[in-house]
This record gives sequence, C-alpha cells and structure tokens, in this order.
Amino acid sequence: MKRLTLQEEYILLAVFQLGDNAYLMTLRKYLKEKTGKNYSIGSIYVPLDRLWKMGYLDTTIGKPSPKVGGRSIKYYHITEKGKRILAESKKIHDRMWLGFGEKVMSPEK
Amino acid sequence: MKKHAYIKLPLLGRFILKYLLPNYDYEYVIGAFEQGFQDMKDSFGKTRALLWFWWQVGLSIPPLIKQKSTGGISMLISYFKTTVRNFLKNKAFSFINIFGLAIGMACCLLILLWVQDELGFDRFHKKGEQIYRITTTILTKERLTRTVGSPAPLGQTLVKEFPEVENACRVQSGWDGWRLHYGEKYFFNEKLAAVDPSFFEIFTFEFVKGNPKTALPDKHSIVITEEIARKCFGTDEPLGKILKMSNHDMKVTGVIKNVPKNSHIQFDYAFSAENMRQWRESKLDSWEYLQFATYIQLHPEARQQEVCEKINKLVSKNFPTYKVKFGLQPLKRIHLRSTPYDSWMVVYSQRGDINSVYIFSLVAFSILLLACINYMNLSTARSVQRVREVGIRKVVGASRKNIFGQYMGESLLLTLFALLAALIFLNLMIPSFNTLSGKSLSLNQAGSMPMVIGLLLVTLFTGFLAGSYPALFLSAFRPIKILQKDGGTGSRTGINLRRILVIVQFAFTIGLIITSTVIYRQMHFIKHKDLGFNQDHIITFGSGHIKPEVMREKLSTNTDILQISYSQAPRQILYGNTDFHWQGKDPGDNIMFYPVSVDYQYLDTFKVKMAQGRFYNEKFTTDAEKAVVINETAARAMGMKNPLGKQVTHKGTPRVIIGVIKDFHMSSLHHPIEPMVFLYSGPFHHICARIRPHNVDKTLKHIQGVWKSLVKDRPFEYEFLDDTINNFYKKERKTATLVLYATILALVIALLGLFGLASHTAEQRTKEIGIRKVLGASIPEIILLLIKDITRWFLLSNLVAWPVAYLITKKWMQNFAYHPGISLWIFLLSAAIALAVAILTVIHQVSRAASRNPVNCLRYE
Repeated sequence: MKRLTLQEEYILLAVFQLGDNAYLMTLRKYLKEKTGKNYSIGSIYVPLDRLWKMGYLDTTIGKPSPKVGGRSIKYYHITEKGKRILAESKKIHDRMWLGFGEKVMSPEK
Repeated sequence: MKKHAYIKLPLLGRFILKYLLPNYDYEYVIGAFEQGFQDMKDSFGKTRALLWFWWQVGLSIPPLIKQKSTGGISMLISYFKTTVRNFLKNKAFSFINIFGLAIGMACCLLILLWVQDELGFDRFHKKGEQIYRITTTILTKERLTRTVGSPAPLGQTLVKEFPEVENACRVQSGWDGWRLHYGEKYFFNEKLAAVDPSFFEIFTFEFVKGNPKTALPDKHSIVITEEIARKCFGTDEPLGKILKMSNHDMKVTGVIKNVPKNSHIQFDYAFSAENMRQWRESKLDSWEYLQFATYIQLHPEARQQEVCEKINKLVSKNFPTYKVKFGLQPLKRIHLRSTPYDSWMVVYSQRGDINSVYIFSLVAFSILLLACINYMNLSTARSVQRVREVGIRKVVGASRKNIFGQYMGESLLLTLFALLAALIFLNLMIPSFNTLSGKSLSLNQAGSMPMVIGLLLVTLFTGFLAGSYPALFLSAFRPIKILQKDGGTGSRTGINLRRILVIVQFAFTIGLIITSTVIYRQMHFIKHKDLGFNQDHIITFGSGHIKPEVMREKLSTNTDILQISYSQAPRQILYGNTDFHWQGKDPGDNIMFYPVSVDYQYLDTFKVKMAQGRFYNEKFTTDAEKAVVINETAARAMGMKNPLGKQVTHKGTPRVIIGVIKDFHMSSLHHPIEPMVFLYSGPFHHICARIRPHNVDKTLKHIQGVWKSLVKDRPFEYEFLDDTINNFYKKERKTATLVLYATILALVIALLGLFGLASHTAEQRTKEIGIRKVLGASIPEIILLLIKDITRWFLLSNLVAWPVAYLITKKWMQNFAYHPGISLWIFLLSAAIALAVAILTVIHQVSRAASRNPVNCLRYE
C-alpha cells in the first residue's frame, strides 16, 4: 500500500475530525488551529484532489449559498479506504515513535 | 460600510485560477476563495480583503502549477535540460542564433530610443495640450510665403478680443545681436530669447531660483540657465546679480534648469522683448513686423478650428495690400510636422521629420524580422537532428501542445539571452549613434516606463515570432513517420518556406548594397566635381565692421595671403528676386535672378573665368553705379547671344552689362546653376581670402593677430571654404553612414542565415553526396552542385531587389540637380559582391561535406 506524505496525512486526519463539515475553508481553519501554520487554499486543494483521486476521500455537493457568491460548497468525507490507510499510518508512527516519549519528553528530564 | 454589499473577486485572479484548476473543481475552489474574501471584507474592509485574496492566489500558484504540469515538475526540468544540452551541443548554431537575434534587437531598441526621443519633443510642458503656434501665409502677386513669424501685436489683440485665448506670448530667438558678459567673462555663442513676460507662465521651464510668474518684471531683468549661472558666478547666489548684455545692465531674476534638448525653443538666456524697442521702436507695434513667433494658450474647451477662423476674420482687415492667412499649429506637432517653410524664421532650426520616424521604425522592424527569420530558418534546419526527440516525446504521451510549449519556451529563453547581449551592443552603439544623429540618447532612458514596456514587448514579440514557426513545424511531426528509418526530413512546404525566407533576406541585403553604392558614388561625384572655381585654400571670416582699407593693409603684410575679397562666398541656398528687367522682357515672365555682392578682387580670389567682356575694374569709376556682370545662365535666360552693352534695370537702377562670367556652382549641387547678377556693392560684411597652401597655420595666426588688434568685441571665427562646401552635404553624409551600417548589419544577419542553411543542406544531402562520390563524382563537381542551389535562390532575390532599389535610389537622386546617374554596373557589382560573400560563407561547410569519405556517410545504414 502506498504511503501518505505528512501533509496528506494531516489533511486526511482533518477531514476525519471535521466529520460532516469538512470543506476547503473549514479545513484551512482547522489546520491553522492545530499546526499553527497558515496554509494557502491552493496548497490544501492540491493534496485533497490527490487523495480524492486515490479513493481515500468522497465528496458531496452542498446547496448553493449566497455567502460564496451563489456557488455550492464541496464537502469531503473520508472513505473506508481512507480510514484504513490512516490506521496503517498510525501503526507505522507508533512503531517509529516507540519509547521517544519516555526518553525525551518525560517530565523528570 | 454595508455589511453584505457583495464585491466580485478580481477578474484577473479568477482568470489565473480558472487556468490552473481542473474544470470539475474550479467552482468549489473559487467558492472557498470567495468565502474567505467576503469574510475578510466584512471584518477588515475591502483593501485588506483584496490583499488577502492576492496573497492567497500567489501562494496557491506554485502547488497548482506542480499539479497542472501533467508530468509534474520533472517535465519542465526535462525541457530545460534538453534546451541547455542542445545549446551546448550546437555551440556554433546557438551562437549564431543569439548573436543574430541580439543584433536585430539592439538595432530595434536603438531606433526605438530614437523614435521615443523624437516623439517626446515638447511634451514636458504642463499646458502643452493648450499651446498653439500661429503660422502665417502671405500671398503676394509673385509668390506665397509661409512663415512661423506673425504680426507683432497679434497675440495681445487676441487675448483682449477672444475669451478662448487665455494667454499669449511672443518669442524671438536664433540671432546673435547681443552679447552677454559679466566682469571679464564674455559669452559669444549663447542663445538668446526675447520673450514676453507671459512666456514662463505658458511654457513649463523648471525654475531653480526665482518665480516663473514674476520672472521678467521689466526690460532690465534676465532669466538665465543653470549653466550660465555656473559659468558667471560659480557657486555664488545668482539672483539679483547684474549681468551686462551689450551695454545694458540686466538683473538676474530667475535661474532655470538647462533647456531640455527635446524642446523646439532653445535658449540660454531670456529677456523681455521690450528691449527690442530701442532698435525697432515703431515696428514693435506694427502689423507688418513678422519677426516674432506668437504662441497662444487656448481654453481647454476651445476648438482649434473655430478659433482659427475667428482670428482670420478679425485680422484680415489689418492687411489691405496683400492677403494673409493664419493657422494654428499645436505645440506637439511643431517638431515633427512642420513643413520646410515653417522654419523659414530663425526661432527653430533643428526640424524633425515624421517621415523619417516612420522610415526608421520600418527599418528597425525589418532588421528584427530578418533576425527572426534567421532563427526560424536555423531552428527548422536543425530540427532534423531533433525529430527523434520529438518522436520519442510524442510516443511517451506528449501532446502537440506540450511540444509547442517546449519550443516556444526554448525560443523565449534564447531571446532573453539575446536581450542581454543586445543591451551590451546597445551600450556600445549609443555613443557613435549620438555623434551621428546629434542626439544625446542614453541607456538610462531605457529605465523609463515606456522603454521597459518596449523592451519587454520587443523580447516577447521576438521570442514568439522566432519560435512560432519552429514550434508549429516540429510539433506537427507524426511520430510514426519520424521513427521510421528514412523519415523525419520534414515536409516539402517547410523547405520551400525556408527558401522564400532566404530569398527575402538576400533581396533586402542586395537592395541595401545597391543603395549604399549609389549614395557613395554620389558623394564621390560631389567631391570631385569641378565647381567652376577653385575652392581650395580660401578662408572666410566676418569683416568685423572694420574699414576695408585698414584691414587690407594690416593683412597684406603677410605675403602668404594672396588675395582678399570683400564678397559673398558660395552658400547652400541663395536668395533671389524677380526685380531684374531688360528691353524685350516678357512682362509675364517671373524668372528669378540671384544677386551676388562682389568687389574688384572677386575674380582673382575665386579663380573664376570670364566668358565675354570684362569684370569690374578700379580704372573705370562708373562701374560701381552703372555696370553689371551676369553669368552665362542669366544671358541664356534673357535670350541674348551677345549681351555686352545691353541696358538692364535692377531694383530700379539702370545698368549696362559689361561682362559675362562662365557658369560656376555658387550654391550646392542640389540646385541647378541659376541666373546670377554680380553687383559691385562696396565693402561686403564677409571677407574671403586666398592663401598659399603652405604655412597655413602661420597665416591663420597672422590673421588672428590682426583681428585681435582691430576687433575688440568678438572672437575670430573663420571657416575654410572647402569645409563650408562639404557641409552642404551633411545630411547626405549622415544618410550614407546610416545606410552603410544598415547594409553591414543586414549582410551579417543574412550571412548567418545562409551559413546555417548551407550546413543544413550539406547535412541533409550527405547520403546523396556519398553515392555520387562512389559513382565517380569529383569534389569540385559536388561543390558546384551544392552551390548551384544557393546561386539559384540568389538570382531570384536579385529579381526582387533590383526594381525596388532602382525606384528608391532614383527618388533619392532627384534631390540633386547634378548626379552621375544610376548605371547597370552598380547593380551587377552589388549582386556580384553579395554573391561572392555568400559563396565564401558557405564554401567551408560545402567543401567539408564534399570531401568527406563516402564510407562514413553511407555506413549508417
């Protein structure tokens, strides 16, 4: 199975966390809250599109809203395939990070 | 601020996003931008929202581009790599390409600079759009005179009578009646301007010190340029200082920046026109006095045509004896669109010509086009080597668009290199161009906004034009055909088009060679034509208003001065009149006679010969009042075989013809020899002295010494007559030099193109050559075979070039009354030169192809 890049992983996780309310602007806000980094719309859109092409994401189109100039909003949802790859990622992470917390980040040190 | 006022996103931003985003998602992504934008607008206002939007767009572009390029960024890198490798692999080709383009672009930019300068004349005046100059057309019985001088009281009358005319001022300049001095510092050559006080309100000359509104309060005030201020006072405060203008005390009331070179009014110091009263008391209010140029400032709403009609209606009653018509000339049209007669008055001498602006723009464009053609030729020729690359790219999925983009990008990149080289060339070319054109262009001008835009446009234009054909040509290859072993030679039409391009280039070059040969032949003709008198070793200088007897006596102490004559030297243009009558003259005959002032020594000084009769002689005391000498043309014009002793009247004085002078060229060769009347007129204000050819320096020093001892108030200024005569043809010499440069450039560019093409042909026919050699062809035979092709195109281009060159040179020749004509050998010679150079260029490539071992050419199969 293909590995995710860090950015893809973050975005996939963000879509998961936001549940039914994941679209470009909320994702951007969420990522800013969690990572402190200001992502540009383009740099979120590109991985989203890639993840969607790979089948990790699903989309639904919302109703046209006056707030975005009469346009519709595209909502993203994580698919089963997406959840599996996240689980896979988590496992790898856990394996890789094993023991790091006790040795480096423990309060005694 | 209304909270929900809806503002659309900027069009350009939407356009960029539309291009970069896939169609299926454009709506949604732009929706996100929209949402963020509206949020920002609601909380921080429109400006912040716009900033945010552009910042977001800017940040989004790189990832979107990465996504957009199908093969990812690696494809772009691959393009770049191929381009660089190709440059390096074919160093000679790349060099030729860049060099050719750079020359073309440098020329184009240089001419752009010049055109910008010409078009920029008089544009620095703030009220420029409202300023007009009044022109006058006078119709008398004899002729029509157009002048920029207008009646002295006209301007003030118009301001009083018409509300549309907001302001008016008179200007007179271009003469040197008054000299400026301050203490021991004398200024002889500074340009003066006698103006009305409103001058500085109408025109915008930047004041360093003083106030333009009150710059010339009375006739004893003067406004000077920074340069004069520096020369006179150094670093001292110039305001309030007293300068002497001849013997008048003038108080400095203003200092302006030096008058820009692109102003048609040129002066170094300006003072009130009221000062002219002491010379021309009555004339300053006279409607007959036309020595002022009048500028008026119209109300912005006023219509030029209407005002002009009103002026004519008002003023015509002031001219009962002859008809006068006035015209209004907008300020910005003065430099480029004045007719020659408009410059009749001295206010303005360096007139531009809108036609030469057009012609030079055309030349610039043509040279650039030639360079582009070269690039197209070389690239398509080289394409043979690259068809396989294109084939492979297409096989692995490149679309036609991709290939097109690749080659366009390549040509743009090359053009950028060429631009750098062009700027270096430009820097080298500017100084000699400035001496040639009398301008002061500099690359700094290239920093101005229009020039930067011009540079970018030229670069983009060149890149696209040069790249278009190769890109289209290469991207059209079919991969199957390319990758088949014998394929890939390209379509026949491509080759034909290439030939046409070469023919055009050569036609252009041959045309230019012919033109410059004709021009240089004319210059040679002028130089060696016998003018009918001896122009060598004659010095001319002013008389300095010293009594001729004194001057003669002092000068003649030096025996190297052979003759001294107080008379009029030959000059470019003569002024004639029709007031010359004889018995039996047809009253309707309006023939012009040109008077020349002479004295007794005239004949010996200029070494002119008599055809009949005798010249003026001191022994005959009545000569001065009662006699006249004419030239042969005049005798013919009067229809007299034997004019000696005939009675004539010149300007009311009856005279007897005592001699006929052999025809000689009193004016430039542009004009035919005119009927001339030589009049003994006492001391003329010009001295012509014939000196011995040796010891010229010593003789000059002697004359200078005499001058200094006699004339106190002005420096010794002299000219050699042959220099003066040479200067008649200044314009032609400039043209000759320019055409020569253009010829060399065109030749170089054409040869570069030919070189590329020849090596291409040789390469393409390698196998043919190999087989021919195997079958027994000798090397010379093969060389001949290859050259035959070039010669054929060459003859074709002659067919195009000759008629065009003939028409152009014929038109140019008509400027001269005397010319050697255009003969066939010039055409043949030019063609022969071009052919010889062409063959020399290709012979190396061709002979290398011909002498190659056939085994090597044929082994490939």
